[in-house]
Amino acid sequence: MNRHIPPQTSLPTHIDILPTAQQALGNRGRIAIVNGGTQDVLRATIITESGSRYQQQMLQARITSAMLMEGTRNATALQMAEQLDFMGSIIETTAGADFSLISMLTTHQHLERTLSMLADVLQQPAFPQHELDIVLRKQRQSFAVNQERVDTQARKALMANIFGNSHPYGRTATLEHFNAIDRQHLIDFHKSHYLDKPIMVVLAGQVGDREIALVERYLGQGNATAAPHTPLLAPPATHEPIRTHWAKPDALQCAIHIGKPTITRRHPDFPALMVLNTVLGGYFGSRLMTNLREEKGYTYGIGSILMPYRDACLLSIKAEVGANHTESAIAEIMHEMDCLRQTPIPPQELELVKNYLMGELLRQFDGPFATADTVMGAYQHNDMDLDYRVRTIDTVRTVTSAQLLQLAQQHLTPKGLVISTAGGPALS
Amino acid sequence: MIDSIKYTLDNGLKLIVHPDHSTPMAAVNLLYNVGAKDEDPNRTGFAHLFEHLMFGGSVNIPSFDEPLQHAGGDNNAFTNNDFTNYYITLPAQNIETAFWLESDRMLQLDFSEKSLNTQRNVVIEEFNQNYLNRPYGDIWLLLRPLAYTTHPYRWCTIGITPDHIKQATLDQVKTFFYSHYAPNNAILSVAGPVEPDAIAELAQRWFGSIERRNVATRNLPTEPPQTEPRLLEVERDVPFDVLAQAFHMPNRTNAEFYTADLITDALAGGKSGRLYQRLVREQQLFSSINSFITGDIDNGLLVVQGQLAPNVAFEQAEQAVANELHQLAEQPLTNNELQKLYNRHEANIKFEEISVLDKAMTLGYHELIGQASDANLEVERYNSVSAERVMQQARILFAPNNCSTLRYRATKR
Repeated sequence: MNRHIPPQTSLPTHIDILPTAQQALGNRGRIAIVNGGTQDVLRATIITESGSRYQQQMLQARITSAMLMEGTRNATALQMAEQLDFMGSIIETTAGADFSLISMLTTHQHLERTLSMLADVLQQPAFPQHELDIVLRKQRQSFAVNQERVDTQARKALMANIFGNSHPYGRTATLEHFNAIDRQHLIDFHKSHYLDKPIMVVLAGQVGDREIALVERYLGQGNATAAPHTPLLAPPATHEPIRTHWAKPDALQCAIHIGKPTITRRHPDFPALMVLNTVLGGYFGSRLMTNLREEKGYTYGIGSILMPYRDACLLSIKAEVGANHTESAIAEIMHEMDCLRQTPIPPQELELVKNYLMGELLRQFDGPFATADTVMGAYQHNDMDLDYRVRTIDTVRTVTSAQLLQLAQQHLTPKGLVISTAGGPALS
Repeated sequence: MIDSIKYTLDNGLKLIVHPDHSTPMAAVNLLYNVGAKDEDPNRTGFAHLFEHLMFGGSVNIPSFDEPLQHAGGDNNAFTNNDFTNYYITLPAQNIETAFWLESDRMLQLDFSEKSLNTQRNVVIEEFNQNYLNRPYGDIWLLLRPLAYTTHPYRWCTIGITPDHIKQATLDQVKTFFYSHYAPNNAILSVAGPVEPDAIAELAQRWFGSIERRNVATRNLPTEPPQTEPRLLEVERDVPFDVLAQAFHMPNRTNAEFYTADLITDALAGGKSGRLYQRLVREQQLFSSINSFITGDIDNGLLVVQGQLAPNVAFEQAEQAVANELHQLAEQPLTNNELQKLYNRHEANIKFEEISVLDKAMTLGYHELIGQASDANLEVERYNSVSAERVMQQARILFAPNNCSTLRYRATKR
């Protein structure tokens, strides 16, 4: 045994992805089924076209989603909570920019009972005024607390400057909006975006005919109408970099958010851009982590992500750095993007990233729940194109440094960047 | 149910293996029995700083992360007051890479000034980011020294002050390594599509030659019983008042640990919890409220923490909490409420037994506090808590002299 010599390693050249069966529900909705696993656990997620982009009133999507669990025509919030807790089942709701999710986790024993509650939550929420007042107060307070955080301020300014204040992806709420929202807004939004639009259900775990029939019985009711999708495009990213700053003189750290719109997941180059982004800031050994954390100690962590929307995608880099390092940190981030535009990624580094990503892909397709997450991603971000996942695996295996250099020259340019910082003294 | 096989190497390293052939991924978890409670009170934050240094390369391998990423692996670590835990997931066919890397850094770290310098800065930024530059981030920096006067749980794993981190020297790093990082002070647990005997062979090959070390004897000061209520008031530039109350509770291996945990579920487990129903929904004194246990191995804390609604005085909020706690001590839980609490735990344990990483961590942790196979007794231990024991324990826990109250007051703007 020689400790200087690493053990032999190998990686699969092929990854088996659990198949996804799809069928129609009676109400123009669809169900996608990922069957597998060894555990007595089932998960169903309902995806509705009810994100904040569709709201007429700020907070309408978020508060509607938060209120779904606060009572239905058949049960009060307390009764629902008691019943779920008694079964050990979980139902959760979340609202995003494009879609909202209602997800359920349960065991086979309690599937039917939990599904019937899930159907109530989707189809018959009551939006009681008393519960609304409580939810609004809680949300108002946690909103106010978040406004104190430098990362919240940096993110808000980034979005507003990339999309503009009136764009559905760019506008942000203020405290006053919590006073303007009322019960009727929720009832209207629920009707138009949860009931009248087709739903997608993603069911994962040990799923047989019985489980599918139960989902059809409880979630296949209603009569939605499919409306054509109107894309929301991001403004062109052609301007010179924009710098914004939110001063907070006594802050110990400055939050840096740097971003720009980039190609979406539908674009053929997207898988390769994902590889490039990983090199830049997508894993622990990335260029940004190595430079700003491991070499300079400016930050606890820095990362770069491709943040997908249904019709757009943002390249977004963020970190919280010591307040005295803000300008040096920005300079280093710009420098790392520049390096990727100037110099091909060395073969050893590219091989490392490809291997790391193959491991990540194995994790992404490990078991029914992880695989169902990729199905949900495909539905939300690229029109349910499941082959996208296979193309991603192929790209990770085959993409070259020359291709990534070209991609960097197209996409990692300063053009269109917004550099948003929060914390520290005002800019001179 | 997590089946496992245990081996012990001659050098004292314990190995727990759980085969799971439903996945291509393996998890390798290495737990060292050293945490923030083993620190010198004048050099706090050291165990956690040390965890960062464990990624700076070892005697024969200059980079820990690179070869692992090359093998398709991912890894991280955490430190708490009781122990330090390192974990790796990777494609099972490359599992030997994890043994090679972990055994080399157990053999000897590459102690370097440069790595220490950088990680000191990184940890100070972590201190700032999570504790000092975030609204309410310092609550635990205040609450621990209020609840504990003597036991080292009185400081957080991040440390008492960034100054302690700044002062760490390379000599201290070396001493810490040789007195705590040793095969006879570690538990290796592995889960994935593996054959136990083959894993035992790998462990022997890579870890077997590392000699036992003189592990520092743990001799922690005992926390004296609290004899009167404690109160600390601070004012901070935040938008809302927060109340936090801490109560001393039994240690991890005491049967009443489970009782205390169930009490927090009755108070705040899900939206049907009593505190949410009474104090948020009905009386509207709080905008949010939670209750949880710290889960420490030595005598830990049961905590109630909530954000006050506007124009509610601390005294009023504290009285309302006290009423709810008092009720638990006076009136037995109904069978239905108790059954609900059992069911929740059983389901949660089931949900947590899906990933190989969760399973490997659970096994290592249970081996530390008793034996790995005890992980399978958890459901039974929760289910054996009776309504009578809940009342008894609530009386002890919520005695006024057992309470430390932090009033975290928002500056009027």
